[in-house]
Amino acid sequence: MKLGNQEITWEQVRHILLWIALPLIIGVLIAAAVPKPVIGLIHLNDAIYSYSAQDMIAQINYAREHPEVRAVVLVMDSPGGTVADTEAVYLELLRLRQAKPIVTSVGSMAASGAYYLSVGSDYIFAKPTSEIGNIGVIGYLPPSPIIFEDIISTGPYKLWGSPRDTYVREMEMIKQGFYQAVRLGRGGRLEVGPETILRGQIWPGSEALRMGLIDALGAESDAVAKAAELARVGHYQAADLYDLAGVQSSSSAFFYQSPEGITMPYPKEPGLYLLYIPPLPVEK
Amino acid sequence: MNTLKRYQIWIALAVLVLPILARGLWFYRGIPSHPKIQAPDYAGASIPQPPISTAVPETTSTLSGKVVVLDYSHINLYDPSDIQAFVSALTRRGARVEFDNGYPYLFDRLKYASAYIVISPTTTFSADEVTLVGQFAQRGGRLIVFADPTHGIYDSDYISGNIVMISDVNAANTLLESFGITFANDYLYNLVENEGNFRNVLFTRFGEEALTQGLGQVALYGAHSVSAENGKALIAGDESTFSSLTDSSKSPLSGFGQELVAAALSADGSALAIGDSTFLMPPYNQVADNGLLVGAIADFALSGTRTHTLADFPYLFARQANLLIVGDLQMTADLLAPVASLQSALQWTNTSLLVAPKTVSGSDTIVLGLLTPSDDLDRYTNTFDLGLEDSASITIPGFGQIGRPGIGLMLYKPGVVSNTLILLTDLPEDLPMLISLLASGDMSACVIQNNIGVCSIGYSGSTYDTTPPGEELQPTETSTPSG
Repeated sequence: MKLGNQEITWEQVRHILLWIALPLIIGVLIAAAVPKPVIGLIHLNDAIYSYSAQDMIAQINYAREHPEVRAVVLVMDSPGGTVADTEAVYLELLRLRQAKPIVTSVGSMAASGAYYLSVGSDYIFAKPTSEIGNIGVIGYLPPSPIIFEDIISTGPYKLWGSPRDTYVREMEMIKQGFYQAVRLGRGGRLEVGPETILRGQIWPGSEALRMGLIDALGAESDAVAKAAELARVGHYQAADLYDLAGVQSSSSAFFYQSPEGITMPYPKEPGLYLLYIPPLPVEK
Repeated sequence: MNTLKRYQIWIALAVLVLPILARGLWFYRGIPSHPKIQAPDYAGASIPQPPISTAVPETTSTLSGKVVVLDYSHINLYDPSDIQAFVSALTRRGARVEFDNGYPYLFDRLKYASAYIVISPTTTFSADEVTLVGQFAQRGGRLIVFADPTHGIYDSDYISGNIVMISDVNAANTLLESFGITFANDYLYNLVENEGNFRNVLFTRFGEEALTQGLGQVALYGAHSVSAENGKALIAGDESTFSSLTDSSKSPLSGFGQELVAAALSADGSALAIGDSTFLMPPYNQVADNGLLVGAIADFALSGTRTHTLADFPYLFARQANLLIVGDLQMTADLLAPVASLQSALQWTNTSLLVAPKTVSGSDTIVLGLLTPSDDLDRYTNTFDLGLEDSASITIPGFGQIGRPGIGLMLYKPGVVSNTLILLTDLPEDLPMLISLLASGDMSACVIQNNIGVCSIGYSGSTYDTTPPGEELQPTETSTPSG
């Protein structure tokens, strides 16, 4: 065989194939096995309660356990929810964040518990009119303890849970935990102090940006790009972790439904909530 | 040959790694940094506890015997059992507490009450009630008004379905307006330092008054702010206490940036307004110095010295009263029945009436007499400066000259040790009527100015047939209009 004016022997061709082409093919095959990085999307379009929290935790676990998921974007549109479920998701998010960056993209609302989850991420995007904040706790006081003739309990609060006064103080403790989460999550980016933040006010995205409650105004795609940037990936695919994690959808009604079938904006069960309840029309 | 092989291996390795590296670099641009993530210190969080109560057992031993009337006739938003601790503080001081549910009338209750206490009313006070309470306070009575933003009536608007909230502020302000005090329809809050919740405000700034003596810290559980024109601020918020109306530490009721006040005293010291009533109730009355404040309010309620006027009959006497007849008057059968009814009327107030032959020193006295000058009578009436010399009329300060026929005079002389009520008529036959009028409590036939009452009582004697016989008026001729 002749290559130019040089004679190449079959022995040499065999050598080239053995030492160059074969490793190249193997290299290409191995390279093909290197997975394309995934920016996982976790959507929250509901209140945070047992079912939605379980779904989120399943997706967070998937992201943590799968190396191709290089970063996660929380796509948030929620008024918050129960205290315990919010805390459960928040703690899982912190675990994930130790390994992979998390970016939040707020749709129309990240209020109360939803904002609690947002501050567990590295970066928060919102729309100019997204509703942000409502930091605080809400709950219905238990009734004053009374005793009945036919219902016997072994302690004064067995029936009522806790004294009304203690209940109020517990709410304050939960609020302090919430505030700590905000302070730790936002750090030096916060431009306002507790006297403003803890008023429980809800702010539009543009105002929340000025206050340091969020980092930027932008779309979901901006959040995905930011997540990729933080994860140091150049080319990636964005994928909904709900499908990847194979979450089995299950739900129950969280909000109260009137006998006429109208869903009201407040929970159907009394308890402690990190929840934004839109004001009911009140005339003075 | 070996060197060639080594090159070949290196080339093979390089060729093998190249596509992997290329793909890797296509996707990954570096190693992401992992910031140190810190979780909130949930384990270190604790339930905030209330400030320790400083309440000390009360050593009050003097029994006041005074009456405190608690309003319960203006759809007041409290349950009497809620304020039992406050009622106990009053009764420990010897007071008797009455809940006014509309009957007997407030007019009658305030005749003998020392304090009138209103808690979260929702129906407004009438003009008559406002006047009555104003006069009551002017005569040494104490007015205490509690409002509370956590108390309110929630109702649904029939047409719009909107929730309607009826606050206690409007009704309370109708009563307090004449005292220069106004409640704002707000609530106070403090996000920085509070008693377990932002609306439970801790107060450490107090005005210097008997009411605030010894107070170091007071917790109010949802309080309206109060504005007192020329009055005294008793409990004031600090710079981190805000009003819900303005979200600032300045009073929403003043354009001059005055501080927020939760309790105030009127300029004359007779009316106290407090923007919260929850602190009266357990367990909140046991937090910080709240117990001390509850005691101080009870003391304030009983601190007034009531001065009575004739209109307050039969609550003019605090002890046994002696009935004394002076001058030319004598006890007759006609007088016995009215005196008996007077005795009954006084028994309602636990005052016994005894007929006495002469003045008993230091004892309350009811004097019966005629409108004729005498030394006996002058002893009791000299301070009133009456002119009794003219046989056709008498001169009464403030009234001028009044014809004698059909006139009954009531004179009330309050004293330091004892009080005296003097009943005088022109003729002895008129006296039973005057006594009966007084005993019935119906003074509608009397013009009362302070401690002098002039009554028209002419049924039994002088108004009828007062013209001497033979002097009947004769008809006179009158000219008829011509034309």
